[in-house]
Amino acid sequence: MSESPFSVPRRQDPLGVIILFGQNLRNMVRILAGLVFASVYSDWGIFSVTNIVLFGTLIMAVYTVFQYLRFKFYIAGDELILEKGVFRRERLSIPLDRIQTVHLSQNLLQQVIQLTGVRIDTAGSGQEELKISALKREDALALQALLEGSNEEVKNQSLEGEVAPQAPRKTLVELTIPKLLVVGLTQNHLRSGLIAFAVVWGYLVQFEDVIRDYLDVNLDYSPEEVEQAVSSIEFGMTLIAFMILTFLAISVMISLVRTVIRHFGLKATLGPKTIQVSSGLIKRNEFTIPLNKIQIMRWQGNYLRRIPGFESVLIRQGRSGAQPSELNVEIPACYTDQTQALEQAIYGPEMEEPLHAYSPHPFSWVYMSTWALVIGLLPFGIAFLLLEDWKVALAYALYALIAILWVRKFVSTISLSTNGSLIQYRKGWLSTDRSLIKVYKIQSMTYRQSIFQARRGTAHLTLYTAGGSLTMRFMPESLVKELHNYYLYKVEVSEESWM
Amino acid sequence: MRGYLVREQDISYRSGILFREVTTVPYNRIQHSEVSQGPLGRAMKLSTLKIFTAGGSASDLSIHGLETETAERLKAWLTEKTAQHV
Repeated sequence: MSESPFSVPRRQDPLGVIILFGQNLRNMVRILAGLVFASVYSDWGIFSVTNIVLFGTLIMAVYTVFQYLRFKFYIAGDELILEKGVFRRERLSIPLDRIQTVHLSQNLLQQVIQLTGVRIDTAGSGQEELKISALKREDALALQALLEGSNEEVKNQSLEGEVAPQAPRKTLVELTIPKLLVVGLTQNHLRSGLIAFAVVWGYLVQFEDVIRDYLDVNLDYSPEEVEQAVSSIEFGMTLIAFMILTFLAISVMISLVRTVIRHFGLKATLGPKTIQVSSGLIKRNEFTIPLNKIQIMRWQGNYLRRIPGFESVLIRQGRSGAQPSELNVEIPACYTDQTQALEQAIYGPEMEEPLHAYSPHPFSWVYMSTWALVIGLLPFGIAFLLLEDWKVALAYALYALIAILWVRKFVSTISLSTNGSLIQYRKGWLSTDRSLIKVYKIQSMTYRQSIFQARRGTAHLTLYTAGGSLTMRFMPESLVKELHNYYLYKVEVSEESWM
Repeated sequence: MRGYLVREQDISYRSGILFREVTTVPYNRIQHSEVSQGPLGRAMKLSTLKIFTAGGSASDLSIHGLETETAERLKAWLTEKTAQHV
């Protein structure tokens, strides 16, 4: 360790000043935008926008230089030390064995200057986010290798003092452009559309006044006008059809764009102890995940993906506090043989013993369809009150029939398989979802039951891990109680490190 | 309907009437625990014991309305139990 280039306090790469400046600039954009808005409406003399912006930028540049000079990091003993702060000085020390993941990323600016950002995440409660924004790539890789010391394969390398070539790695998934487009086209478009809708709506609400003032249009129509416009049913139907089509088209577009930005040039490789995933168009992310730190693996498919025959894999690692989904690594386009390779690498020993499959409680479809029917009452009830037409009741009956058939089909796809060291939970019909968890990764467990469920003897069981939870709904009560106790016993006697 | 259960290897908390819930945390998964008290609790000499595990707030277990002395004693017991597993 004494020869390690990180044992003495060091700064980031000198060009890092530019990166830091870019980050500061991005944080300031909102304030600047506000200033511009404000100045449009008032005359501030020498405090003109240009002057303020120029002056602000100058101050920020000076600040950034100090920020760069103050930021130092090194490894002392078993701790990573970060020193930073211009006005308020901070010294953070992170015990190396608390470090969960170290991931590398490059945003656009970093790609241009050819520097790499390192992000360090710890397990446990609310640690501050630790970022080193500007290192040369070889330094970033070396630091990553050192920090992930609990990983044998990396440890050996750092002892030998060499870093770059890893033990034989197998390419798992490589997304070419056509494949990337297939992944984009087979996304869950409905979700993309709804997310986009929510985002746009959020912005509109935020800037409503500004937009209104700027456009100087009256967005409120009088009820008579609206009534007049929508009066003819034909017009209404055309409008609805048009809106649905537009929504679908926009959703597909958004799915495509999101996919390309997120998964461009994705490459996933599998080594004996780690899985590496790198991807991204504007911001390139590079994850190295030690296999033993994976908490949950999820395979997700949908009716569109069944045509090319692949699924997405979500890898959940331990995370600190309420962290963004940024740490959830996704590998789209995993075919059966790649899925098998992943399962074998991560769950090989646990899978040796066969899994026993259990189904939900036979009564569970009644609960779920009751919910569907109750939820349906509201829109159909309103429609009935407005239209005063008995055909609405007929439509509701049709809805009820479809809902019940749907739920029955859905329930028949739910299955829990376990052998005492591995849990596999599978559900879904049009879109499928399969989770795998090692029992010793469980952090805590919750048993839930409503009084209605108690009468029929069914209950929910939620398993919490450091990387998210899994809820198994409407399982037989006796099974849930047995599993609750059995898994507790397994966790309590387990000597294996869950992190 | 509320109650807690301390066993050799884990601690459980039960709550709810219409929706019953039992949450169990094994001692070897506890990250840390804390005793907290609001203004009302101070007046009534009652405290809340919170138990944290890795991975966010959803898995945490809180026992409300403990007498402060009991809460502190329980916390000391948990700390001792947790220490055995590190």
